[in-house]
Amino acid sequence: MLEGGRVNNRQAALILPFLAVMPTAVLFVPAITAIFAKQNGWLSLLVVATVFGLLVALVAVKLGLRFPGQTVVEYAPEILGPYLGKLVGAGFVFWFIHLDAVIIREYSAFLMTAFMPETPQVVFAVFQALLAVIAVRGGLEVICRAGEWVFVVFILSLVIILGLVVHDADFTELLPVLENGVKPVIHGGLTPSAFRGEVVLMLMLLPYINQPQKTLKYLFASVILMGITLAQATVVATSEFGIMTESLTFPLFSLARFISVFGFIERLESLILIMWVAGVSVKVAVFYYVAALGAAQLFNLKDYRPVALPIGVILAAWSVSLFEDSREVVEWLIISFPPYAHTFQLLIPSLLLLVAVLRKKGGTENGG
Amino acid sequence: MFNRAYRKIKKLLKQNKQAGSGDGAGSAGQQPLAADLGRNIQELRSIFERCSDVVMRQLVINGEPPVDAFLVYIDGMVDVHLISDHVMRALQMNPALVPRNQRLTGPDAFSKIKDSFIGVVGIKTTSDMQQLVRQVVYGDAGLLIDGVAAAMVINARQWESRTVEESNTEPVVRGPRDGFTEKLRTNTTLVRRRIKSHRLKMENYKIGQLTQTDVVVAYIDGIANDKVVEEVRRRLKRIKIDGILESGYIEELIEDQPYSIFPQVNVTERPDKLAANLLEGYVAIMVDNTPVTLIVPVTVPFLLQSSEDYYNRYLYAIFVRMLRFLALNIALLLPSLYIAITTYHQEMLPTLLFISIASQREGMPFPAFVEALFMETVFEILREAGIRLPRQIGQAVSIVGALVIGDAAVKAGLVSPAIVMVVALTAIASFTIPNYSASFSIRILRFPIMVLAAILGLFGIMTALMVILYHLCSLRSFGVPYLSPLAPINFHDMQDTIIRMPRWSMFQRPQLVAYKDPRRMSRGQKPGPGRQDKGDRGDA
Amino acid sequence: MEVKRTLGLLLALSLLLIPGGCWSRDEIEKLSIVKAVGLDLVNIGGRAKWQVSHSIIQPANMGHQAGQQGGGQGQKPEWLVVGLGDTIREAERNNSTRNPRRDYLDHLFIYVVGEKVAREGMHIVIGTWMREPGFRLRPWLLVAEGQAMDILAAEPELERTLASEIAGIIENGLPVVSKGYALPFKDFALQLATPGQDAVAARVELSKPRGGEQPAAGGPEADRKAVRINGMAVFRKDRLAGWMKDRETLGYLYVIGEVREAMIPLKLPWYRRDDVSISMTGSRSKIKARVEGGRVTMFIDIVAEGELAEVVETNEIANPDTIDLVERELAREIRSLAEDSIRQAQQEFRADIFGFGHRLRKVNPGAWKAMEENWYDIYPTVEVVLNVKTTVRGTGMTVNTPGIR
Repeated sequence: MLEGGRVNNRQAALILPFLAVMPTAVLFVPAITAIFAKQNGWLSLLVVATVFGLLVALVAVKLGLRFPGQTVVEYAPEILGPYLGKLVGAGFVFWFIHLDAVIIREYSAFLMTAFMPETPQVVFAVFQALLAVIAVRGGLEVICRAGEWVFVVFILSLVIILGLVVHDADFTELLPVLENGVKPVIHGGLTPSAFRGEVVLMLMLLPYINQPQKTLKYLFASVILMGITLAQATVVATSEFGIMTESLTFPLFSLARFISVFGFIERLESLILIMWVAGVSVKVAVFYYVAALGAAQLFNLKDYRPVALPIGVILAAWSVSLFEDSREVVEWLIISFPPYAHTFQLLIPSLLLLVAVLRKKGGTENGG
Repeated sequence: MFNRAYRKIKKLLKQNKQAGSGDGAGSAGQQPLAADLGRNIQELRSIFERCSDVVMRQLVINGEPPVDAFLVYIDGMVDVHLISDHVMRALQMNPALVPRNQRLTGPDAFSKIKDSFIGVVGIKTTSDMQQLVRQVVYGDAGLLIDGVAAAMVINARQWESRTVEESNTEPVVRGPRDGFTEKLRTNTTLVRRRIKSHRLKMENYKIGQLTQTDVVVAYIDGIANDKVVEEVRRRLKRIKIDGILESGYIEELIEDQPYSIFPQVNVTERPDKLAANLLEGYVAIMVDNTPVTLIVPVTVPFLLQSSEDYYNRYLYAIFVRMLRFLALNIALLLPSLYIAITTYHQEMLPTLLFISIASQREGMPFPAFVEALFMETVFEILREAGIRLPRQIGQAVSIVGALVIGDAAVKAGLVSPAIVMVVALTAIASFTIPNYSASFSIRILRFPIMVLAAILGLFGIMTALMVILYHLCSLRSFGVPYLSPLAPINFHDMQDTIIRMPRWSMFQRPQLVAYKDPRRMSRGQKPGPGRQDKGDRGDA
Repeated sequence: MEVKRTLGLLLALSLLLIPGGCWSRDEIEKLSIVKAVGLDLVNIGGRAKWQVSHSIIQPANMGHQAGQQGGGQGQKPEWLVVGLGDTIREAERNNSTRNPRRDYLDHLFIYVVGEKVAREGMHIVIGTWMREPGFRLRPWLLVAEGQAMDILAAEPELERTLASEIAGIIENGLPVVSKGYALPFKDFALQLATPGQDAVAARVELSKPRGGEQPAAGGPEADRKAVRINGMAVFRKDRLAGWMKDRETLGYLYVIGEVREAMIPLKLPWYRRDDVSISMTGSRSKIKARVEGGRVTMFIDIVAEGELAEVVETNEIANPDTIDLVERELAREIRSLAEDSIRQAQQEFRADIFGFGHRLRKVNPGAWKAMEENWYDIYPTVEVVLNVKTTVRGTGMTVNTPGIR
């Protein structure tokens, strides 16, 4: 086995997926949902995206449990035959790397807009990639352990932001509920559900969890927790900025800038949002890790560490050349990301599961 | 290319070493003693040639007939009174005063002397010359008797040593005042006096081919993790070195991750701290000739722990630990935060502070980063000078130097007053870290973080912190994750980290270290009126 | 070996970064702290130009360095830089041809918008400023009667800088008098952006120094100007529709329930001479919208509390019956304040500053959808039902006014 360590469900199924979704979701999602769902954005996040996330989690874990001790890259050839299977595996590896490059790009776009407009994007890309290399070389255990504390820091930063602005929020801005019916809410839920679907990572992590039978429970909790957290953030943002939410690039960042308590606790957004660097670094590391692991398994290597550095170079370079400008990132997230993501998150895993059941591949035990 | 060459050289060196290791003093073969005293004396004289501190005394035992004997020991390492009173006097006693049946005659003279004449407890025999020599250099006295191919080794070791006094590096207000000394036996005694149990094991090792340093591995059988103990033994046995002069030698040779900046072995000079750690299942490595004892495994909360925390009431201990935690963060981050905030994130300052700092900095020649680097370096120099200088002057220099140089630098327009304040605060904060070797890591890490803060502001600081976090997460000390119980999170063991729970609620030992026998005390001992009879009375 | 290689790699990478590093870096003393921004439209050679005034702090003159460097206690710590340009941002940037330091907006306290800009339309201003990353939503937005530059050129009377003076008046002065109403930039922008809601902003004007007597003509103090903040600028859509006076402002604040403290003089009909003053200590309001047969009715409940603060008559006033009468009079007064305000907004300015439309939308989106198109025609006809409840809680530290004998 490539990865020697074992991690528990709390680390790998509750916290890691949370950190693999939230850090960038929290930046982009509230504004994107507001474009379609207006003041009902929180419903898109709490209901639509959560339902999708739960579906993805269910399929991914059911599929993984049929092939204990194997990742999707390893068992896809078993299900679909060597050629098609390898192709699917390669598809996943490509998807992870591409998505990781997008993540780095998203976050650099944010940092450049918000903090350091003069700094070249490649600097952020290189630093994020380097941090991820360090984490990935440490292995899954290291990422998980660091994740536990980053999780605390991340939640803390959100609690601080929301807690300090809530006193001058006007919750009646959430009215009227479902003004234009359900359709805009579902439309607004597409991009967030593509983010939420990133829990499909579990296809790669499940073999290293020490009690895979209980994983589904933790993963569900994780998806629901993400829904609650994002919905909360959106509720506060909407009640603070009302109709302006959709025209802000980063509503939660604007919220943080708006903090003012006792006249001197203000303008602390740098400190709070720098805490998100920690979150993003774990997010990048997780995708990076599964990409490296998958690549190693694809080529039947004994260790994934030799592929780690090349992938890092690809990531840093690709993230710089992916998009021309920061608006293009958001456009991509709105238009291309949902179908692209849903293919790998739900469509392919469901097909794999279906074929596996029909061809009676893998164990039939379906989790206890 | 380079790699291959390097490996080849290493191989050659290894072979060389193996070839050379045969002639070390410790690994010499057997060499039996002769029955003839003259030959033995000759042999000993040639071995101890040019050793002016070796005393060799020829004497005659008043037996019937008188027997020749030979005493050899190293001056200063044996108790001369013991030798004269209980060895010499007994041997040279007037035979007329001795009952007839006990007179020294014939072949059993040797055992008679050993069993009934010499009034010393520690006495052994050996028939090997090398063994005799080894014991003599250890501080034993050797007694040879003519006609017997054996020697008595009399344990009369006593040498000058410091008395037991309070440790300088780990002073406490409340708690015992004794500290370890350079003498291993004293140190083991100090521990044994605290843990009067046969389960306290002390395994002896001799490390160092020339120095033959005694190293004791102490642990409590049944509490300490066997795997850790076995790992300690394995790593100690691996050490092949000419000499061990301080426990630092051992520390560097048994670390898990030698490239890490963090100490992976805890050290103490306090027997009470050592005893407490032993009771929790840690393993101690005590080294002769140094008061500094090693404790393994180590986990990161030790940065904040002082033995006094356990003697003061828990609320005070929690308060003090949080204070130390704050100070730790200040010591690590304050200069970098100052740089990052004044050069990148000025909005974080309250407006009036902003204006105040800006007016101070007006007309300053250097950027904030250079200022901070300069002052930090000056402070580190002062601190080093304070340690090197004679103790009485040292303190004066570090305090006066700091005040004078800081003030003069401000007056001369070299640095702004704010940075002097920042650096002073940082320096003071770094003194609160109870663990001396850990404070080194913090002091060193401060500088790269400052550089990153100067390049990338808060983003740089956070990047540095994440690198540290990932590194700490991947570290292990003797199989125990370095960050435990913080990561992986172990809520049970959190009882004694940044907080310290009341003693009656910490009824279990730390799980990661002492998983074998977790029970420390019985539950339900929370005191209070009328609560004396409650709770199960299990034996801890 | 592996570690050495990694270290080497790291070193090479850091070498790449350091020489080009320090991109967004600014030493703190190289920044010019803009504490107030003024925005005007001026006519230069027949062409409309934007005129941006920056009120900049000179740290060395703030007198923070007690004793050291002699600090210019006598020198003005503020410096007004004015720039012209075709767009707002260009005008702002043109300041830098005169400014040796880099403009720094994060510590901004106030924005002042000139009357002409407000009449031309605010949406350009809002859009431009919100785009700027260094721009904050907290600072107060004020509309100047006249030119914003003139306001920023006025001198502070108590504080060291004008910006602190204005911010101080808004934060500490206005809440106790409730005769002016300032909003942070964000709330103003939100009011503009929200359908069925028109915006208000604080009105700032120049006034004679608040000292007692008038300075002698021609003396050094003669053309000294100070600022005063009272009344409100009322916007219709994004254009300034007119000014509200003290009385209507107080009424407005009662309708939206934002009166924190106020002093209301009352004429009691049964007293022969002089008034009483009620020190108001708090208010709440509730606005409900109802649609019946295409007619919109707003129900406004105002709850106000106060305390007797000034009674000139020495007659007995401190008995429950009299207090009840006073309460009734007070309610009548507040109702008339509110009615005046609503009337002015509905009829004179035709600006929905109370957000009737917005409130209607929240409870009845269907009806709102039907009316949204011609809301500005419907709004003046909206019927308002006022219900004022007042409580006088006490008589202060004295019971009745002691008589002079």
